Amino acid sequence: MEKALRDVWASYERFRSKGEAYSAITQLAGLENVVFFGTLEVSVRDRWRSRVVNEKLSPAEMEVALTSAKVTVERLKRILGVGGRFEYEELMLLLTLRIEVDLVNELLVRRTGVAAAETVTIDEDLVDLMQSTNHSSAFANAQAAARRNWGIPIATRWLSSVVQN
Amino acid sequence: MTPDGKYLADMGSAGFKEAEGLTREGWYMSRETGKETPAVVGGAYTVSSHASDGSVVTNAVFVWTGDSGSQFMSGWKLYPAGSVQTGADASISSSPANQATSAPSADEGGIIAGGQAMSVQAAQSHSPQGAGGGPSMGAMRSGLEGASWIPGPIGSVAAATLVGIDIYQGNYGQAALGALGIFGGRAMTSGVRAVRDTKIVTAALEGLSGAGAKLGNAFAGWAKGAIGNAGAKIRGGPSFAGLKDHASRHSNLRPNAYYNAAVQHLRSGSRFNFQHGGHNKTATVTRTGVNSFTFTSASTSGNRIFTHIEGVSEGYLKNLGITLPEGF
Repeated sequence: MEKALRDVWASYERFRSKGEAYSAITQLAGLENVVFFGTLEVSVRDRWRSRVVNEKLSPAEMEVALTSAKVTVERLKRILGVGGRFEYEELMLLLTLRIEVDLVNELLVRRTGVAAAETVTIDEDLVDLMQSTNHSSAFANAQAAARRNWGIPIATRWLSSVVQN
Repeated sequence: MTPDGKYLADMGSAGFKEAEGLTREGWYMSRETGKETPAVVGGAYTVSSHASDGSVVTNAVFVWTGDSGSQFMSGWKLYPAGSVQTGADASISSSPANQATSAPSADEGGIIAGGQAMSVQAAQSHSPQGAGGGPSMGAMRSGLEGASWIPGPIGSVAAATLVGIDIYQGNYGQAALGALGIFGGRAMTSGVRAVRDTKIVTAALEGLSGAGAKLGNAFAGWAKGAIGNAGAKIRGGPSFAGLKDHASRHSNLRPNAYYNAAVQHLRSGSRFNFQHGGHNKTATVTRTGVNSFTFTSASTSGNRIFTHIEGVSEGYLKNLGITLPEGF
């Protein structure tokens, strides 16, 4: 598990050094989620919690995170707003973007007290899509793959087998 | 292009000169890496020589306009460049785009990607991701003016972006003049190149708000209209179920243009295999930024496209089970 945490931290540093604030913050937010809500060995959790929570972000980076999360929500709205059949790859995109927004929202609330993006409307549409007959099986596959491949055991309702709005 | 695959530029009294760096359709030899590299649409390869006073002049410009779809026509279009000082080009060589390299040296060719590379950056600068570390608007402008000195389509690509920046800065008068330049430039362009130009304008202008939005939206509307007239769907390509829905969800393009972009990407991107629910699929991936990729999913036979999405992240690819190799 330590290696997985180190890999995510390395991604965070790589994105940040290249000025990709939103990408960096999604990585850091994933780590924050895991050290607060994930199932980690106590010693590992304490060590990483201190490292992650003490990591300083600039106001400009927070601003980028906030704006980018809103842009991502708009993207989700646009994709969900077009009916028809969704491919597995699109469901994975929806899942990935939605989870990233959640992670960034959690980080922003924890650090600034303000959530970035309002997600109620997209969540209704997303849950409807997940539960629709045509897509439930592909969505379950996407959830399983995301759980396996995310790298660290983030805790999010979007990866649970029963998602309710 | 000659029957034996050479690309020749007419150098006037000096006769024809081969653009040795153009290796084949859509590929050039990067002077930076020494490796064969895919060209991006709008990128240009210059053929240069020494003038009598010793200065370096660009005699011709090969612009990559995308696959022509015909075995008899090259997607590399040749334009006479006049006497374009490479010093001017040098200002765009600092662009971080993958294709940008140093300015061409005497008697040799070089890729100018500045017009496009800077244009893409300008468009991104209105987006939150672009605020992370891109150049300041002032720095970008000076680079673009360097690019727009080059006559022809490359100039029009850069000029298109200048309009976006002018409006962004509230300089509406200059934006209008710039727009006239775009219309003039567009008249000389067609097909994929026009799509590329207008896409850049649209991206730049859609980030506007407030007083500039009205003027900006008018231009963006024009640009979108031009994209819609991009032309017919490539014939004989893979099937793509739900094309209209996919185009609406994942692009600002009309279905035909979106389909063509997907097919072009299948030809130019790197391939990876992935699977889900017992299905084997092929993902075609191209890096477009630090954490941004274009992704096209297709059947392993290539006969069917499932979707085509720009702007996906490493995390998304990883979730699909695609691990990019070191240095991708």
